[in-house]
Amino acid sequence: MKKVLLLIMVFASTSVLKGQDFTLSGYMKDKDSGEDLMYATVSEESGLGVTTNLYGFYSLTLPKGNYKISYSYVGFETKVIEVNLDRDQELTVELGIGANELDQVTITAEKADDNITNTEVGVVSLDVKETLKIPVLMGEQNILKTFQLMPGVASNSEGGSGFFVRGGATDQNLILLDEAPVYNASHLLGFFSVFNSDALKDVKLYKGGIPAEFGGRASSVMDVRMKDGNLKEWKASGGIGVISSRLTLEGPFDKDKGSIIVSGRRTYADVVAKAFTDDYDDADLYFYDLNAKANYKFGSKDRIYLSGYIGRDMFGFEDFGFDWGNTTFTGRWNHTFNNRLFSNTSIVYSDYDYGFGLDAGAVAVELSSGIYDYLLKQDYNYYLNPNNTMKFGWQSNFHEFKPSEFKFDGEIVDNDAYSRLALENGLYWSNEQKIGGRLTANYGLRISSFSNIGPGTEKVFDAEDDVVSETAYDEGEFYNTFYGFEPRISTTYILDGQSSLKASYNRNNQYLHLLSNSNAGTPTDIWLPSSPLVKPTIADQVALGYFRNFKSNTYKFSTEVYYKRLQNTVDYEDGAETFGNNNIESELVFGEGRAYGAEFLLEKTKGKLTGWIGYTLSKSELRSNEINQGNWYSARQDRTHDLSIVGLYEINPKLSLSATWVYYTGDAVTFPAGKYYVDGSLVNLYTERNGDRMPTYHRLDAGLTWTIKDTDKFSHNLNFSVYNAYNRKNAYSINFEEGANGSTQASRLALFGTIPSLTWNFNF
Amino acid sequence: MKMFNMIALLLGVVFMTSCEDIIELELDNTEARIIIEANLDATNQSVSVIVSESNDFYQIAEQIRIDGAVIELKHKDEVISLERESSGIYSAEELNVRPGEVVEISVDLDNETYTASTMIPSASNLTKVDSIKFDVPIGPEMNGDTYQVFSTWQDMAGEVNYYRLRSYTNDVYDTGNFFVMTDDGFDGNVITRPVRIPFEGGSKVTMELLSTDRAYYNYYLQLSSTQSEGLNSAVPFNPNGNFTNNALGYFGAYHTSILTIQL
Repeated sequence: MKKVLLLIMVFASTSVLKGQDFTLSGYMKDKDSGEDLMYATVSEESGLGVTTNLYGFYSLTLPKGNYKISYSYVGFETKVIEVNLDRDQELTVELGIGANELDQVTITAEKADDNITNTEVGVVSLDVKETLKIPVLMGEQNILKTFQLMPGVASNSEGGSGFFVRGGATDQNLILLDEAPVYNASHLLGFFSVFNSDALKDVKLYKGGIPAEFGGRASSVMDVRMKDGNLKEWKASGGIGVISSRLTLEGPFDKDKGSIIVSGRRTYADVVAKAFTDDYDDADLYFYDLNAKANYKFGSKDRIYLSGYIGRDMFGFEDFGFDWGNTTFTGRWNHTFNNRLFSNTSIVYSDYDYGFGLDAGAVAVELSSGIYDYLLKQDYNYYLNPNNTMKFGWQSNFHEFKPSEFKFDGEIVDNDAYSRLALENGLYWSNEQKIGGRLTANYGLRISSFSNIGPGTEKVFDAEDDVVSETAYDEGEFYNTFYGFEPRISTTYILDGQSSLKASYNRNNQYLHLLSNSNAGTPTDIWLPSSPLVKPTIADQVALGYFRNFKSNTYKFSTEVYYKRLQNTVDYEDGAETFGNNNIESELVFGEGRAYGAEFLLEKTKGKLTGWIGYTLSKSELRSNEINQGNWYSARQDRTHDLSIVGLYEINPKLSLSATWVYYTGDAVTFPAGKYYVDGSLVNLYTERNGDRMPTYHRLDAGLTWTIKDTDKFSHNLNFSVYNAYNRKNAYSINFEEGANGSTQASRLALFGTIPSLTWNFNF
Repeated sequence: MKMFNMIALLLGVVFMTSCEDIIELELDNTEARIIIEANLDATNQSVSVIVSESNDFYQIAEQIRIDGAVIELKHKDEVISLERESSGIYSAEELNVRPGEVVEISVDLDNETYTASTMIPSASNLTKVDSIKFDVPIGPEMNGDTYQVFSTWQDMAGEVNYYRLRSYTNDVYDTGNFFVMTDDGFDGNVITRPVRIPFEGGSKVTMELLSTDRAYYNYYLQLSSTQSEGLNSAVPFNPNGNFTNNALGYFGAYHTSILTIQL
């Protein structure tokens, strides 16, 4: 850390020695709400420029002189300000929505040709506002589902929020809500995401080319940022739908200095169900979530943000219940040391826990488990000069894994259970450098470590899963540490004003493993830390991309190819005992993986008809000595073809139509090849692991939004949507069973037929 | 663990659009494999072996038994030949095996030899069988007159014991229940366990406790996890028994104890 700082100071002093450079720094904001504009562009006429960071801060160092500085952000009117740079200056600029905004739909929150010029390869950004127009299941907005419509991102089940990125498993995605890791991003078995779109400002998914400031997962990073709250005036927005309602309040408690936002949501499927039938009178079936955030500026150099999320799912019958949820808290302090060095300090808490209870007459069974994170993080942005922007910092994450605690009639059954403790650290440095007019490189290194901390007992198992030896460790003892060196580089070479070539390589170490023996993200999935027996998963990915825009950025085309190699993948062995098992390491097998593919995306960003076509051709395979006779086999998420078409059509300013169509190869699964009888029961005979396919999936959704009134003071609209418009019976699961007259048959469960829904949204 | 399926179905019912139907699905065929199901009943000092082979998934649902196998038990220095009882079933009686002794089996069929061994377990006896009215309103088959049956026995202290509970309704064996357990956490205690089968009022229910050896337990444990279906199903696999030469099935030993209750 000291060396890095020293390096920075050497760099800084050399540029000071040159003499006549001065720095223009400040923030960019939305004029109407006061929200920071992240990734906005600040540039002078010759093209030298920088982008704002996550908190809207920018710093541009130029030789002494007069400049016309333009401040631009998509969907906002560009502002050009003349600056006489004869000393360091601070300038905070507010942009307003341009007059042409209302009849124009923009797909991505980027500068019009940013996709060509930035170094990001394998990144998906979506404008949260835009996703609101896409038809969804039961009218409940789900940002995770929208991402699944982009190439390289695949849905993990019908209606599910879980996703696979470039052939990686669901647990290889790091999902951050205001920097807090979210361990289960699903409600109601994945039919809804935990992210309430009303409270979100920006969501970015890194499929590859993951910047050095992120680490800890093998496949992707989803960076979700909550709104800060309107700094100018009090506002309310919300919606009332068929199965859920939501309400958001935001406003300044100290104008232009401090604001607050509170957003809540609750479903009432159980209430609706009870109205139709008496069968569920004793049932609870709902989830709720609450987002809150406050921020305050102390002078021009400091700003504090506090944000939190609480969400919980409840399933219950008279004597039987389930509940699970996430809680996160993030405290952040922005400080500008000087006009070139910006820092952010974060304290984060995150927990995910679940409980299960059954009270059937004489027996009462309870099972509970959870994961708790305490994280401290320090990030610096250093704007050396217009050609070099550095990021560096560190983070330290203390994990506590509470094991399955099994209670039988109120008594804890397994007293061996103890919390497992671990410390995960990361130290990173990266630099984005412009080399000449055409080449930009973003390179960096992340050094990570993961330590198991006592008290704890590590067991060694034999082939029969029996404990061979046990080693006990004292409280506070760091008894096992892994280190990871994770280089990250991505480069962009601009071919001409309309096209560019990009390439990236990155390595990611993953120290936590989600063990799941089900398709859906069920709450009983287990997060397991790396340990002497369980090595960290290491992913290496290379990607190449070609980006081309047509007709003054109306059409954007991109294609990327990638190859990913995984070491130390973790899976359950055949017939693993998982429920309430605290010797879970004995039930694991280890292996390797490889995934490769080509992604194509064509977007239309302007005009009455907008939308995109995304197509992915890919392969994802795994190998383990203990599975499939040691041969490579398809991962469940191996999707040969994955096609999404999204269209938004504006009939007139009041009426807009939307439609999405998805088509993809069914999951790789293991179907029986034969059958036999044991103990008088039919048993399926299997041959190759994941050698079969679920039926091909396709579905059309359509929506109509009628804007009833749209003024600054009050606006409201009605959204009508139809899920699965042509009632395709997509198989959610296929079971093989004995038929009526001694035959055997395949039975398909299709979860959702055509589902219409109506939602009323308001804003004032 | 069909709970998740149930919840998913419930969600579907809430949305009133889910549907379950029978579909035509093309499945690969595979070479037939040999299945040997060899049970040694140490309480009755008898052994019974069923030799069968697998058939294609959509073929008629019946067990294809295999005749012509030569089966022998080796116990201490004695070799006992099994006799063919009916098609594909081989048996021997009046064995003289004691807990802790090892018994080997060899099955010769079409110039292939399959072998396995088992250790005779200790015996435990059922002490009580009880029932309670099942009042959790889950699933369509649960009407008001459904019972859950609990079995109670004394665990043998100081050793690892393996158990399987199975039942007969009106003297007919209830298939499809592969519940097995160990005494982990209950060593030497009185153990009470239900079987996961609902029984209708008025039925005669016979509970059978098998105190099994480890091979038997391992096989049925695997079998039970292949049989869970739907959302919570593990990746399907073929349960591996203790026979050599890639035969499916197992050679297991147990003591048995039964009690009957009239609901």
